[in-house]
Formats: sequence, C-alpha cells, structure tokens
Amino acid sequence: MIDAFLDLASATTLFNVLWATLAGIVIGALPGLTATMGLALMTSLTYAMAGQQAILVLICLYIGSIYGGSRSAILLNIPGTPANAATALDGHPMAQAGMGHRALGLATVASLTGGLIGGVALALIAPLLAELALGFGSTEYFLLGIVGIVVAGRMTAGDDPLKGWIAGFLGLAIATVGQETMHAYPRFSFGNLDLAAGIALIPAMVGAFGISELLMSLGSGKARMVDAPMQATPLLSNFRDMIRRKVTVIRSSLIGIAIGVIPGVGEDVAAWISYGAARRASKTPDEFTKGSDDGLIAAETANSAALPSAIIPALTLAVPGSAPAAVLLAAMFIHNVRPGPMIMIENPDFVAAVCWMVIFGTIAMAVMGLALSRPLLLVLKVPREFLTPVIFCLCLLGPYALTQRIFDIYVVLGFGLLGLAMRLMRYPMAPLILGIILGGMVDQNLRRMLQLIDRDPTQVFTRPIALVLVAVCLAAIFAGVRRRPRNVHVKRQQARNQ
Amino acid sequence: MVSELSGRRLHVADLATGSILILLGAAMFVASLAMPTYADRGTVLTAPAIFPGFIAIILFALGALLTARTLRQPAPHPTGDGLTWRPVLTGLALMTIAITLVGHINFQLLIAGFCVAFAAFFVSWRGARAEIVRKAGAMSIVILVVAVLIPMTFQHVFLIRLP
Repeated sequence: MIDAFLDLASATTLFNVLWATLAGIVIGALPGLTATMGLALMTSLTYAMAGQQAILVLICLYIGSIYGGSRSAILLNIPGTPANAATALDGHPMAQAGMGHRALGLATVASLTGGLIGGVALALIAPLLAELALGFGSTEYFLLGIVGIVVAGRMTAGDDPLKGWIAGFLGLAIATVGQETMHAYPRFSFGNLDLAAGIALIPAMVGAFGISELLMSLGSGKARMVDAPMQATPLLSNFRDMIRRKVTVIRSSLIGIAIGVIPGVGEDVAAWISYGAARRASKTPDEFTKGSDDGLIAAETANSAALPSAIIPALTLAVPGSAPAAVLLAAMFIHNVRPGPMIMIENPDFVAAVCWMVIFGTIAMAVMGLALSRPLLLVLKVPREFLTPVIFCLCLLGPYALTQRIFDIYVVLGFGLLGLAMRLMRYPMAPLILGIILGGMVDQNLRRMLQLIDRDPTQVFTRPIALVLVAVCLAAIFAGVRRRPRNVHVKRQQARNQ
Repeated sequence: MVSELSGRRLHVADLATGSILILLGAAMFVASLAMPTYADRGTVLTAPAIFPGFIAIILFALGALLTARTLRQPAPHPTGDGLTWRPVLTGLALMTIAITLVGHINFQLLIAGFCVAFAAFFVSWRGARAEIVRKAGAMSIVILVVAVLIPMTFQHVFLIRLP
C-alpha cells in the first residue's frame, strides 16, 4: 500500500484528482447528467492519458458525481443521479425550512465518512475475493453471470422484478450479436460487417443512459431552486451530528458495502435500503421525509460506501458492481489493465493504487464540496436548453472516437430509443448493461462447462461455490416472486416521478 | 412533464412488450437452429447456437409470463397522465436527423445546424430585447463550444478524424 501511495503521489496526480472530482461534482449536480453518462463520456477523453492516471480521473469523476447529485437533490428536489433520490426525501424539506446549508454540510460529511469506510473495505475485501475467485472454474463463472443478472434484476426493478430480469436477459441477447470467440462464427450479423464486430459497450451505454436521459429531461418541467434563506452552520457541528448518529453511520456503511459488492446493483439501491433500515430502526420514524438528519445521513453514507465497494467485483471478478463501475471496467480494458482473479498476482500494485485513488477522490470531494459550496450552486442555474447540445455533441463524438466507426453513432441512437422506451415502461437500465457486459463471459463459460461436465448435470452439485451460487439465484427468484411490503418502493416511485 | 407510463398506457405497453419478447425469443431460437454445430471438430457442446438458444428460451418464457400477468389483470380505465410528448418527439426528431446526416456532411456544420435548430425549438425567444440578446449571446457560446472547441479537441488533441 505504501509503495502504491509513493508511486501515485505526484503533482500530476493532485492536479488530476482536483479537476476530475470538480468535474464530477458539476456533472452530478446537473439534473440529466448521471455518473454513468459522465464516466462514459469522460472515458473517450482519457484515451491519450497514461493508464493509471486515466483510471484515477475516472474514479475521481465517479466519486464527485455521486456526491454532486446531492446538491440538486437538496436544493432542487431533483436527484442529480439516481443514487441521490433518497437524499431528496429529507434533504429538500431541510432546505425548505432554511437549513439548506446544514443539509449540504451533513451530506458532505456523510459522503466523506461513507467513502472512506468504503475505501478501507475495498483494500480489505478485494484481495480476499480475488483469492476466492482463483477457485472459480467455468461452472462458477457461468453461474456468477446468471446470479448477477437475476440479483441485479430483482434489486433494481423495485416491486416488479420480472421487468428487471427481462432487461438483464435482453442485455445477454444483445451480447450474442457478432463473432463468438470459440469458432469465430458471426451470430445474427445478417452479412453485415459492422454487426459481425458486435455491439460495443460504450456506445450502448452512452445511448441508453445519455440520449434517453436527454430526451426525458426535454419533457420534464423546469426546476426551481429553494429560495428560503440559508442559515450558515459551522462545519464542526456537522461532524458532531455525525458522531451523535454513529449507529446510523455504521449501519449505512455496512449496507452500502454489502450492496455495492453485488453485481450490477449499485449506489441507488444501497441508499434506498439504508434509508429504509434507518427508518425502521429510528425512534422517531415520523420525522422521515420531513427533514430527518438520520434519513439524510443514511442515504448519503450508504451511496458513498457502495461506490468503492462496487469496484471490488469489477477488479477481482471483472463483473461490475454498478452501472458506472461497468464503464470503469471497460476503461480498464481500454488502458491495458486486465481485471479478474489474477489481478492480485499479476498486478497487485494496481489494486492498492485504486484504494488510494478512492481515498484521494473522497477527500478532494469533501474539501471542494465544503470550500466551493456557494459557487457550485451557480451550476444549478445553468439552463438545460444550453447544456443539451453540448452533451449531445459529446454523446456522438465520445463513442465514435473509440473505434471511428459511424455504425457506433447509430448504435448510440438505437440504444437511446431503447433506453427511452425502457424508462417509460419502468424497466431498469442497469441489468441491461450488465447483461451486455457479462454476455461474453456467460457464453464462453456455459459452453466450457457443458464440455467439462459432458452431459452429466449432477457434476455441478459436487462444487461447493457453484452450489452457493445456485442457492443465491433461487433465493433471489423466490424473493422476487413473493409479495413484499411496498413502503420504501412507493417512496422511491414518488421521488422518481418528482 | 414526461414521466413513466401508468394505468392503461402501461397495461397496453406491457402487453405489447410481452408479445414482442415471445416473437423475439421464437425468432432467436429458430435462427439458432440454423447455425452450424461444428460437430466435425469433436463435440457439439461448443456450438455457437447453444448460448443464443438458451437465452431465446428464457426470453420466450419471460415474455409469456409478462403477457399472462398483464392479461390476468383487468385493464385500468384510461386516465390522463399528463405526458408532454411534443418536446420529447421534437428532440428525438432533431437527434435522429443529425445522426442520419453524420458522415454525409461536414460534422462541424452539422452540429452547428443542430444547435440552431435546437435553439429555435427549445429556447423561448419572447420577452424584453435585453433578455433576447442575452440568450442569443449564450447560444452563440454554446455553438462555439460544440461546433469548434469540442471537435477541434478530438481532432487535434486526440488525433481523431471527425466523422
């Protein structure tokens, strides 16, 4: 860890941490620009950078944007990213009551705490998971992919897991397009060379998250910032409030870490589950949604703790823990980093460097969030109609720059339409993207597994990890089919519709 | 305000999606059957059709489940859910035209044209003269950024040939 720190400590690193985190905060604060979209667009701008610095920029941007989303959630009642939807429930009422400054400060301190705890978890869990993954064979990888789709579909689709599963398996279906790796047979290409090369991840993500978000935002009304005067709150009092609520902080951090590790689920689900848990554990549950400190702290701590945790499976299993982590995974491949179980053997310094990147980004986020809290509010006043052409231009050029194929620009439009339709019909986007990412892995390992077990399915049940994965998959399906309380999800739906 | 579909619209959309998934699953399965098995290379268990065939069956089943579930529920009465489609469809049309023209005309000209068309449809040009001048100035900066600065960065810094 010390070697990795010394290797990373330079003026270039400091410069990149500062501008990337600030860019992330601005992107996150702007409603309509999500962390995933920001990362997908920024990936194209890091092609020319050295590998480690490029990943540093993307991680800092990721941290900044998840935090930046809390600004608009508190002041506009519009979550800047889906991860901040639960923040709006208590943050906005606090701002309306003239405690906007305190809400912004509490959100910053909660994000700092969650991010640092998540960073430590990344350093501790990643090597353990990588070691466990060394025992994975084709059966385990195939099942891991299926479990990822089933669990992500179950957890991201609110009270309709069927739609989450449809999105996930549609992603796997899209991944079948193009040449497969065993016999180089071009599947579903219909003689078209572009289709034979397959659907690239970055254009698909930019379309599904970027274009569809732009179109949705064109149809939404204009947001109004809270006009109640903000009473200044001393920074120390925010820390005191956090210490007073240490149980909420610890619980939310643990929830964030646990949810973050699950493939494809991500920060938004972590925030909602943590918010629900804080409400259930609270002695004053009636205060929730009316400006509760516990609610705000639970949501912001959990989404920030889930962020480093979502990088853990991306690094050690090459399976992303969230949609932005999926872009990060793609960027790692672009910059010649090979994530997977061998990473701790081939490139252990890189894992340690990623832990430091998370810690640097989290500290920079807190410092800039506190120091620039007033200037950052100006960002929220930029009219949407002036931003849309800029984002659209980046949505076209970013994916094109990777392969310089005009076909990829058509893919952006196609996935933009698919994303819009899916959003309108209440399908979650994360399982779709996870399906596209995992498609190759599931395909290869399914066929290898079939060869290895040679028509004897009972062999699957002689492998303990495979058995655990089958059990998790069945439990997720059973939990999805069973009726459940709708409390938190009703709130989630209301926040989405606002 | 564009929001997620609800009520009768969602009911119809779910029914349509379920039917499309059934058709997609069936079509994928049939197309998989037509793929080569490469049995001459030792085993059929690595055939390219195995994975798409597996996914096709699951998509078919999920589509059937969605259709059956939707048909079992009574169709809700039509309600006005206040969707504002005009700006979304206008934006979609502008983006589609721009993307269709990529590669056929100069990219910088195309994106500048997109900005002008976007401003004509989405920026309100009513109000006091000073306000209109301010908006026109802001839009000129946007055009400068998207038609000159961003393409030049990609062209000269990242050495990308513009489409």
